[in-house]
Amino acid sequence: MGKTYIILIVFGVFYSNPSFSQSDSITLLEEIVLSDVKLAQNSEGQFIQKLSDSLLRKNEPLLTSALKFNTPVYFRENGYGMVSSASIRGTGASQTAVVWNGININSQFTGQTDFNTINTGVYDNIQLRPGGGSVIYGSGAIGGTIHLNNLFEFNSKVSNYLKLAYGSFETSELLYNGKFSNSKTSLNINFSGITSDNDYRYPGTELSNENGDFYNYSINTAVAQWLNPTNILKFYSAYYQGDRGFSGTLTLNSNSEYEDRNLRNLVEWKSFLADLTSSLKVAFIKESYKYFENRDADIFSFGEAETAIFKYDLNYSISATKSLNLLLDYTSSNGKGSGIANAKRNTTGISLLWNQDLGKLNYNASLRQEFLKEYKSPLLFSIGANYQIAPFYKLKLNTSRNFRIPTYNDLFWLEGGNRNLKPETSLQAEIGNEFQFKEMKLSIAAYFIDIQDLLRWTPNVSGIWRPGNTQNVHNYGLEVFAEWNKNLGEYPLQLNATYAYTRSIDQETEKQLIYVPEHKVTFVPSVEINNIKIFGHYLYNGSIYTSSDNQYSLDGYSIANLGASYIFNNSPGLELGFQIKNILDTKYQSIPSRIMPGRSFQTSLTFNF
Amino acid sequence: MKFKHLILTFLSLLIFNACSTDDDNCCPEPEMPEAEFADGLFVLNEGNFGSGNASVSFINENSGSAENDIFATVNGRLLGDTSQSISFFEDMAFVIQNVSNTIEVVNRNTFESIATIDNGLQNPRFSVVSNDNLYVTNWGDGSNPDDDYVAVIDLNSFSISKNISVVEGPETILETNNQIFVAHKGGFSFNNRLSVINTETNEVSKEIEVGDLPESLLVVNDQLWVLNNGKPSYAMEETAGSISKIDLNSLEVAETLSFASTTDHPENLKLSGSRVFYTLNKEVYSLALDQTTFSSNPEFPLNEVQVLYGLEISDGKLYAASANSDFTGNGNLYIYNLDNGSLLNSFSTGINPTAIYFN
Repeated sequence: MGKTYIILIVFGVFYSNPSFSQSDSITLLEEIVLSDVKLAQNSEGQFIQKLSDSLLRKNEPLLTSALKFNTPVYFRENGYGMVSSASIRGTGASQTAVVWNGININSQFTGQTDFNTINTGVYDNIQLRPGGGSVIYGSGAIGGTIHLNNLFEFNSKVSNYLKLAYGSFETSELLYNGKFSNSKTSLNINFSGITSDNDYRYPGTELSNENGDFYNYSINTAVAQWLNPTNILKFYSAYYQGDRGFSGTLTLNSNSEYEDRNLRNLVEWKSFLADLTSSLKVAFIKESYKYFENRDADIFSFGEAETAIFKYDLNYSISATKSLNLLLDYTSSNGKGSGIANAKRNTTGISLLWNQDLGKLNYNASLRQEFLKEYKSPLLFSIGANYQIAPFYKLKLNTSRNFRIPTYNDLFWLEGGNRNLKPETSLQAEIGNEFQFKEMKLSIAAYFIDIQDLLRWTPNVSGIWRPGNTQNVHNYGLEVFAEWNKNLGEYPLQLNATYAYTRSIDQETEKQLIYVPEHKVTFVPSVEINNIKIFGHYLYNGSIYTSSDNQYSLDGYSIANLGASYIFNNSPGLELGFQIKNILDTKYQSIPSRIMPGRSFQTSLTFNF
Repeated sequence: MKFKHLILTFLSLLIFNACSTDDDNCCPEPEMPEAEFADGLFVLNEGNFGSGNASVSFINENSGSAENDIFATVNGRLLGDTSQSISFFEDMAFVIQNVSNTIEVVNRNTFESIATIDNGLQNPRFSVVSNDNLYVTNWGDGSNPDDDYVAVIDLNSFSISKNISVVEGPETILETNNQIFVAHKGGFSFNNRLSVINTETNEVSKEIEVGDLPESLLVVNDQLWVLNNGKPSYAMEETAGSISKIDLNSLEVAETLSFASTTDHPENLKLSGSRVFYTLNKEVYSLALDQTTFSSNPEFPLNEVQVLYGLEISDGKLYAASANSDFTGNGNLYIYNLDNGSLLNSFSTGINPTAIYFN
């Protein structure tokens, strides 16, 4: 009786109404397995890059490293393991939304996510979707969105994956993924932790990184339970804890420390009724931090924000090729902390999405409006289309309006918060070309983004820093993703490469914005020869300006990593790995005087049973 | 040892001895470095917090030349992170880096490094020399109101001989009458006091209550004038700026002149002839020494300045250090005629120029 749940859903519907196409069974499976169905079903016109768990395991456990070496995303890092912010398509740190199982988790205080507070090992895959996404994901989805996903399986299998690693600078890592399921229940338990003294030498100098020691870990669980053949309940929970010294620089000694504690819980109840799919999601997000200017003293500043999100999603399949989706959501958040006076915000939103499949042409059109009393939110929209011109060539077009709301710090900060701020809005368009040949996949996209009312903190006439809607920026460029699979004899070889050309021009000064590189290249080859796996990373970041008059800049740099592992046994799996990171011992920095690590080594042991 | 070896040794010693007199041509004298920076002005550039790009510019108004980054050029290494101030004594200059917690001691004419003080300073701000000692105000741990101090640094050894404990937020420091006055602006908080330090005992002999956020200290005849900024708009209660006039003999506040509105936050009190000048936002005002009410009409505005980050008056001219409005990139020095406010000259400086010093 157990196994029939899935079969009933997938094939029962198929048999009962012969006009349904094969794609519906895939759609239904996606509704069951995925946490973020909209990403899979509502991305016409945009490209999605998927980083599988096997790829993530070849990288360091923090999200910055995985994206830095495999995607066109550029990172500004304050040192290894330190505060790290992302830039996609030349936009700023708060114009990239990080989405956890469909829920936007950017900080209420800063509007951004620190990419070194996300452990990749606790997710089944991570996806990058450049371009707008506010219609579904809300504030901050201007440059792109990064999706952290947990998936469910109901295949009655048990699998355990355990990895232990130890490397330079007393760095230890532990990763555990457990999957247990039968036909009605699916349970995933994940743990990823890292600790490091982080006292690396700055290449080319006599100095070492000081006060940069850190540890962090994430515990994630995901459970799905079929209540009856047409109702499934899903629960996701993620806890993150990390303490780190904020490292000094070439000329700055630091004794400060930062502590993060984040808890995220999500419950989803999904119902399948004939042509309707209904989903109710309730999420509770709690973020908190403490900053100690002197880690040996008991004086600290802090922030705590609690957010409750209610999302109701109703999808109506008008026919096999048309569907209408209604989304209603209510978000209530409140925050408190040093420097913040009473921060509360309640937002109601409504979205309408239309999907149509016309054979070679698929398109979607979506609208969203948010309501809140503090300011007027713009009407957001997104229109995207995929046109399969030839079997090997798909043309993609997308245009959207997205936004970013002012954060708690922008509005309520005691020293200078400005309650009269408007949200930033963007109008963007992109053309994508996707080629699929026998051995090669290639995607080339060109985009243009016009951002109005960019929020920046600048000093006013009396010298007090205040945030204001001060700038108009045009971003445009090119993104290329390539994947080549070939067999060298009987040995599979895979090459992955990305390239980003980015221009981000302040319309008043006509100069490139600071911290936006014009060029970024990543190249990842991997090969398997009998029981040996070899892979490498190559990264090139072009030079960046550090002053808005473009007089000061940081040089571009190349970094290369090499890794190899030997598989002793396949089932149960036992694998011994070795990695050399930054083989060229390149001295590089993405922020002036914050030097990143030189050459380092790591050994790992993996068990799979 | 044979006798002739002794003779040889004695003779060789004589030869070496002969070379030691100055007017001998045997041994070439080492070249003395040019006193490149002897005549002109220094602009101290803060740089960006955490980027380690503080610098010093040298400008010669007569020749019209400006040279940036002179410390790095002369000494081949970085000055440090976020420079705050320079003080001078004889031929030495003391350049304070607030974030690197260092003081670079250099020759004021060649900018060659004499010593680096990098021990015992925590958030150092301003300094002054008295009695063969360099007194440096330190905030200590910025979030701790009880650990602020004035470091007493011996000028022979360049090491700290004593830390004088003071109230929160010591900033500007001035020496007159064999006494040291420290204005306590308040650091990350707000304060309203002056500390008076006895340089014989190196103890705080008195605390004087003045207006909120005392910033500029100026000796005018036999009084010490203190310009108080007033609490800013983001304080719980905003207060107006004021000038406190302190009698240097009795060390009591003789007179306080208050500004009219709580949104008035004057800065940069400077003396020129029989008037003092100050700025409100980016406008220059003057006050005669016997005037008791503030004029509501400015002398002239500083239109070219983006962010007024430093100001000095000398020789009938007003020097304004202008940082860029987004605090990145090179700033400027604008020189105005003090009588009519016309722009006389402008120079490009380093990043975020914060102070001007005449050599």
